[in-house]
Amino acid sequence: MFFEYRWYECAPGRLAEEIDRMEEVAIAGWKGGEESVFDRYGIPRPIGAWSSVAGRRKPVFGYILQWDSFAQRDTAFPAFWTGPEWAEVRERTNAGFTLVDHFDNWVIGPNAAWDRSGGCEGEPIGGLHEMRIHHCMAGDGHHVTAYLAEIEHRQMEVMGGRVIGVFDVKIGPDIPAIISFIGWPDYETQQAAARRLELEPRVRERRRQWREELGDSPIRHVEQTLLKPLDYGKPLPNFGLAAEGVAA
Amino acid sequence: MSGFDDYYELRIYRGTPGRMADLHHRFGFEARPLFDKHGATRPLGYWEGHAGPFAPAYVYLHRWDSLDQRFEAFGKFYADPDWNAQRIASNAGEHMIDRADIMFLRPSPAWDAHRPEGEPEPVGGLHELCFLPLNTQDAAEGQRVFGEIDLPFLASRGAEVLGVFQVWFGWTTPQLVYFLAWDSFDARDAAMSAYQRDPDIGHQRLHERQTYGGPLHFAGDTMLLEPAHYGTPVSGLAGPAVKTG
Repeated sequence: MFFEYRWYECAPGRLAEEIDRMEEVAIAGWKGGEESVFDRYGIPRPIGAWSSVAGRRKPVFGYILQWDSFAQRDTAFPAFWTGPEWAEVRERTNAGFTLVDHFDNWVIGPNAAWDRSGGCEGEPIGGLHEMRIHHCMAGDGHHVTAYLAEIEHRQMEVMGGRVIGVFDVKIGPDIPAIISFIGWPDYETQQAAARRLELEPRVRERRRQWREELGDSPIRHVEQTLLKPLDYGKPLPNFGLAAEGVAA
Repeated sequence: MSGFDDYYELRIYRGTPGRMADLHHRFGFEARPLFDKHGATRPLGYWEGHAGPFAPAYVYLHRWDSLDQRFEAFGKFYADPDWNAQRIASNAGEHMIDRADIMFLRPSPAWDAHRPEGEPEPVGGLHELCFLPLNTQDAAEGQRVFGEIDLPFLASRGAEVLGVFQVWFGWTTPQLVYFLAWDSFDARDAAMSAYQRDPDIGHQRLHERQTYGGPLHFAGDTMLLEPAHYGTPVSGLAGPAVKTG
């Protein structure tokens, strides 16, 4: 089982069309039928889909797919790409020019800091989501995982956030990197939590320990993106992933 | 009154987590007498950011009459043993700043029609710092369109234009850099949602693709910022930042 993280840099002015096109092929019943085009080709529906509010290279549209295997993925997607439905939708919705300038396509997997003991039942999570990518010093990712599990994620939960998922970037640029998705009720709560984290003595203390033990911080930098979950892409708690559903 | 002859220096620091309060103290208070002593201008605004390409971020903006004056002032400042002693003492064994992005800017013609009238007043609320790379095929037209079509749309939905600049040195050119202020996150969110689905804006982008083979501006980074209580910018960035808290 693996997760596919797909992040699209949209042509300026065409984010809304890209969002609508994804809904048409992945979610909505094809030509009034029950199944979507994704369903027809065996492509799972996104476990989360967003547009960006702030961060790098806006406007961005992104989603995550959960696959059983690479064989499944590399059978289903090429069949979809070469099928008549996608050709028709793509031609019609592009309307002469591409909707997407570039996209990133990473392989990600659950990080050890992802505590799913709370279960995956419940309502889809709306509000404002924050994607934090901790870029780590090579070989030091486990120190960052421990910090996230013991301090940062706990502090965010105290301040009103919900950890939706934590992933290692397995195949992607600028790794090691750990992606955390945090759900917030609103921007004000997210900002208050960020300011509170700045003042958290345990952060200072952990950084002091790192300097003593490692000579440096294992975190190189933190990339942050604020995301709005799309109506059709609100993730379930823990992205719907049961605690026991993942092999070590 | 500002004009094309002005130079602006945008300094974006990628702060070390946990050191934001120390950065505020350093640049908002402790180092100010040294900046003054060496002839540096008082910044037009100081900001803190927790929503952007990297976090946390500490940002401030200078205006300079001449870049030669700027290099003279900063040269003296950096060479001052008092600054070095202050820096080492306040770092307290850990750098406060991880990396810095520093760029020189000049006003864009797109700003002209959005300069405020009347006495400058402090501008609070949610501030937004955006980067907008321009299509090299016609960067002047890209600036005109942004000033005459995109900005009025956002302004009519609650954006206050603080400043619109073009990159002069230090970052990808041609590129616009602009600051907007909003009453709240929700006000901005509503405006951006409308912007993304507005048919007139869409027609303009289509016209650009038909004329130039691509849009006149490309995807860029966005940071949401909060002005510091000791360094809130005034409308139109018409003078040094003021104390509001």
